[in-house]
Amino acid sequence: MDTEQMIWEYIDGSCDEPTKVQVQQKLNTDVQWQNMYSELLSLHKSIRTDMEAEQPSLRFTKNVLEKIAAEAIVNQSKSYFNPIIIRSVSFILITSILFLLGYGISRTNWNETVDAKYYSGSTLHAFLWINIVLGLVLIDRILNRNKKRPIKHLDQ
Amino acid sequence: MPQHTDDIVIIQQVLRGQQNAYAILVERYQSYVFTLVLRYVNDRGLAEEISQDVFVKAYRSLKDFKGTSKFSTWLYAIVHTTCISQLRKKKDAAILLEQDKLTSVAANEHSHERAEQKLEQKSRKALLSAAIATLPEEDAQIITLIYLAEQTIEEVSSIMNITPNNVKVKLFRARQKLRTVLETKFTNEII
Repeated sequence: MDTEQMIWEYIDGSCDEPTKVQVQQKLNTDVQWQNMYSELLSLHKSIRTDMEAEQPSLRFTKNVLEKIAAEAIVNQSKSYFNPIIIRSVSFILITSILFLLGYGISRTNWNETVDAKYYSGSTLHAFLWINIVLGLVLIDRILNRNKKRPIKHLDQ
Repeated sequence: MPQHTDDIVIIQQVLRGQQNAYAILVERYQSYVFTLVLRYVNDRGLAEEISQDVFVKAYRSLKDFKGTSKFSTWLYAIVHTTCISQLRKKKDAAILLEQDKLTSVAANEHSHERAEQKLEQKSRKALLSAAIATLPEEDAQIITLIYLAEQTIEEVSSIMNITPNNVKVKLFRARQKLRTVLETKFTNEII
């Protein structure tokens, strides 16, 4: 370790005890060490007192708060809907539909003749096409919803 | 610098949902964060944008702050990673900035008298700031962390992910360079 480095560590108070004693002895006896010490100490004090923090714009805090406000709303709405409640409601709905479907099927007389007035071939076709269109609309909405989900970008 | 315990109280308030309390932390650390970011990008507009990102990231990850280190140390670690990732994204811009920096240093060397005339009008603080701006990025960061943010060798070591001995060596070299810059360019004004 050279003289300058030893003195800097002495000023910082980061040197070990033997080095500290060694530097103190040199400072008491050696003029060159004394000169360098006073020079480095002066620089050290100058940096400490003269270093100034740069100031961002006056809107800085406001901008940050605006950015995090949007985040907080997302978090709150996420926590607002309890997933257990959502699952329970879904379970009740699906069970009810299955129950009604089962009940309807069990009560159906499969041997009964179809009234041609209401269940003609064209009526069944129209009903089928309406269901296909509704199905496509539903699939489109599900796919769009997935696309619009925000992307997390915390890249630490 | 603010008290460590005081920061923790504010963080707990934010985590309990008092979002406005975060403004106190932003006010408290904005100039330090901004100054440190400026050591990386040297462009005020970009530095402000990155500094805001730093605070947004810190807010998102606030739950991860365990309080084992100072909030400032944790925050400066985010500054470091954010700046590095931003510079990677904007590599071309950084190269241009570096070129600008080199051009300005070269201009200073070639037209020393003219630079001195300009610098005479500035305060000691501005001169020191100008001298630090001529240092390599890493040296400027270490000097800023130690002197402005008042971080210890160990704290800088955890922020920059290097050993404390390595910090000491880098700090020594950074101060040596700063001393040379001040002596060769700003002798009359500073020391």
